[in-house]
Amino acid sequence: MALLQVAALHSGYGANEIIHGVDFHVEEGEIVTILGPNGSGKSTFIKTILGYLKATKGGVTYRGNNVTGHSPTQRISLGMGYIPQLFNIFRPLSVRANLEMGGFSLSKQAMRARIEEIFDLFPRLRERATQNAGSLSGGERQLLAMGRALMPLPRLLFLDEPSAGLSPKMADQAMGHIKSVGSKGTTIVIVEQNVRRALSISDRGYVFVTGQVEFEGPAQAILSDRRIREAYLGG
Amino acid sequence: MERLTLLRRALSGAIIALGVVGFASAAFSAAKGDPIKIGVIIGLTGPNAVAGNDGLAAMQLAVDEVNAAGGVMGRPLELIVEDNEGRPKAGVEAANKLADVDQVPVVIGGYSSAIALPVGLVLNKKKVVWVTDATTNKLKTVGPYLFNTAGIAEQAVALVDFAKADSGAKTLSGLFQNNPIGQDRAAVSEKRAKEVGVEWNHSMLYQVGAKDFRAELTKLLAAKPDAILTDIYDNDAQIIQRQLYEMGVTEMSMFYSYNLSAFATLPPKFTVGMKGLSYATSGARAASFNEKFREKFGRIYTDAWAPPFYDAVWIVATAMNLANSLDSTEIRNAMWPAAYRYNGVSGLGDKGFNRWGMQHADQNAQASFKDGKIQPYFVAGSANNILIFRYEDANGVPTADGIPLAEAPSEEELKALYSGN
Amino acid sequence: MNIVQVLVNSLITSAELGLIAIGLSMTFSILRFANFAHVESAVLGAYLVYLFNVTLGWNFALSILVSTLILGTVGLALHRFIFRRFANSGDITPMIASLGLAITIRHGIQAIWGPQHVVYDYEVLPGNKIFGAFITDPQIWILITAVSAMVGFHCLLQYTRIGTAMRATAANVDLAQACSIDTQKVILLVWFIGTGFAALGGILIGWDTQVDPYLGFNLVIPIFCVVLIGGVGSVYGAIIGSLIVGFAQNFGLAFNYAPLINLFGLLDLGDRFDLPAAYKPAITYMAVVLILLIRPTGIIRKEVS
Repeated sequence: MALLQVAALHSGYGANEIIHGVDFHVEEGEIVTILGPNGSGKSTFIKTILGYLKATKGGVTYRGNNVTGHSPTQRISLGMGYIPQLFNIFRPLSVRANLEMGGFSLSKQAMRARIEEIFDLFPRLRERATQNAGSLSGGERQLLAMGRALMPLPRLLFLDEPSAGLSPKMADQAMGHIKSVGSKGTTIVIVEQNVRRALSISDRGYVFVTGQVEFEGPAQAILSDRRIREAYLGG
Repeated sequence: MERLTLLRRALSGAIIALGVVGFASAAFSAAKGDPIKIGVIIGLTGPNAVAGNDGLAAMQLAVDEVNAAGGVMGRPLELIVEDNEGRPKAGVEAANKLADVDQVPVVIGGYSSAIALPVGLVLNKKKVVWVTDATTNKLKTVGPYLFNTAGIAEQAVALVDFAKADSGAKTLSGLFQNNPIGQDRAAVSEKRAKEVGVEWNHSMLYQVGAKDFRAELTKLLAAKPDAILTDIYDNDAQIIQRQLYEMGVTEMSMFYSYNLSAFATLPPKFTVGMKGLSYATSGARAASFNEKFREKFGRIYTDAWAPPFYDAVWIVATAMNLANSLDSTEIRNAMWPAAYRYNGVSGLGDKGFNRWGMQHADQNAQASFKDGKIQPYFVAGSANNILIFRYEDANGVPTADGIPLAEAPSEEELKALYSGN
Repeated sequence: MNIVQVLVNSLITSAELGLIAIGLSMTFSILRFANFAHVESAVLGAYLVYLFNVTLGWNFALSILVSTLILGTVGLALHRFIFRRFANSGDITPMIASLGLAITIRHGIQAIWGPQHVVYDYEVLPGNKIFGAFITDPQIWILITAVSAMVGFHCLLQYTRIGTAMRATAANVDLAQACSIDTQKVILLVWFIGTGFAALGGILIGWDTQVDPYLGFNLVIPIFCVVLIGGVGSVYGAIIGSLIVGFAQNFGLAFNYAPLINLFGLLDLGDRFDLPAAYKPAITYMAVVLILLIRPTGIIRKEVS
């Protein structure tokens, strides 16, 4: 059974429907990338899956539960995690407080232990523990955003454009971190415009065009498909 | 010669007025038919609510008497009351409503000058008679439909003389509302102080309705004047006197107020030794007015400006009867003869209007607080505590402001008076 | 001029404004609309103390405590029955609703307690003389209460999990939800504390002076100025803003400007030039304008996460 199964999903903002019937699934342990030009509905799609937007039609099944009507908080407590593209850290809070908020649902002890694990994973954050998150560099912020999302040990992590605003070198580093998180057993869905980088660490990919799935297949197949590359991914 | 005429006129006016009332109450049982409505705009809530409620009560008392005496043209008189909440804008809205919706020919009210002025401008434009109790000198400039049944600021300037004679003060400061009347008080007090050789330290103009006056009071006291003249509204007085007391001023004999009645509802310890002027209510009918007020409302009015509101209703009713018309211009023209003949309960009793529709003379009483009650006060060596103000020149001859008119000025004359507008 | 007295006056003004402004800034930081009914909660709290203490004869401290808690609960009800409905209506609709609510509360108060002012039941006494300044016992209690409430709130925000969650929700509601923080609960807590603080501020003003139905009307502009100066949505900014407004209002009048202006050679004003008291309200606006010119975001910049 798939970890996440989405069937004929419709959603949007008010009367303005953006997603027009998307079928989608993620298997346990996979890294899946959603690609597509600007305005193709990628972000709207994952916001619907996370419960920030209501599905107007269709359903979302997660670990065998129908979660279509659940609130974001309920879905998070079932093991979904989310790193938004922008505004993905609490800037006025210290690095440690950010991680504490990430682990809000954990017990005090579990939280302390988990923060140490995150610090071991990203030692840079330990150095900055008492600093305000707003004073971190771009790369450090991405680390913190990821650390914050990993705090409650999510089974399924959504990343919205993790390389946006980063230098090529930092973007490569970010992808490296994502791959290592994936290799430790977390299932990951990435929304990206930077095709090559994301696909290079992914198992499968979806190509969204105007709110529908235009193409679905193994990452390598998408990378090597000239037609897709030229039509939708800007070469 | 002039004095004699005045006295004779006042006496005969009193006899006529009492006679008319007596005759009317004997001849008619009470007024019948559809009521004749006039407007009232007064602050029943807000910074001068105490004064407003006293003023309205006095007007209602007068309306009852007018109706018992036969009413207006045989019909009962009725008040349409609008609360101005102590806000000029609410006053102007009420003026528009009374003039346009209720189409009343006359409106009475306006205790606060900040409201009486803009309301007067609106009503003059709409040719509705506006009878007020406010005291700013600027009322004179508004227009021919405005009448004032209480004295204006320049008629009460004797407070400076009082403070000087009583305390021997060499320097004076002022604490006044920051509105037209407060600005008038500051200007006339400073002018008078200089005339009588007293140094004018500072005029502190405070914001009406504010909740904390410590900054103002700290500064006022820091200048160490010999005496302080004040004019403040009742709701503001509550805080100002309390904060003075908290700042160690437990004896208030250095304070002289233009409006002593604003302090009348305060706990006695906040007014110990305070002195000032009280708008005088004297004359033959005053005692009976006080008694009737207590009878009807079960309390004594605390605001000295309530009696002139009572007088306003009687003058308006008399004017409407004289005009025998509901046309506002005809009523306006009858206001002068009506007031000329009427013997009032406030001021000198003689409520005659000068050509500007203002009181031609006025009367204030020196008073002080004793156990929280206003008592007559006599400056050492003087047996008189009533200050009579008349407009007269150096030879004692009344000036134009000092002559009450028995008939309305002509249209041309009125036009000339307000040609500057 | 007695500088100590001016200092004392400034601190009292700041304490009273500060509590109300903290509440307003708090609700803004999470709900993102200007709640004009906030100051009316202050007035309502002050009247409840009058009801308990004077009308029913309860102990004064108990009256304050109960009134503050009741108003906190009123805040919850306002959210539940009114403002929650505007969650997705932008910032104008709830603001207009709050204006309507403010007028309703103000006139409701007037209908119940009448237009006249009321005072609490204790004897007004001359203040204690400390370094030449007068400060009354109630004023000392007012300072203690305000400072304790502020310190307590600071500890809640900085050292507790729920306080951190409040700061997190204020910084970024969506992300807080992604952290499985129950933001609805946080919002309720914000309403409770914010409205309770407003009530406490109103009570302190009533304790210091008097209460009438127009207290809120007179407070609304100074309070919004305090919040603007401190930085809209910042709790600590509200404290700084209230200190600035309190000191500006009191020192602005006390100050002799002549040496300063003569120094610049602009005018020759002689030895003394005092700002007329009529300009006292304007001092607050001047402070707002000056500070917003230098820092358009207010003293504490509200970080967009």
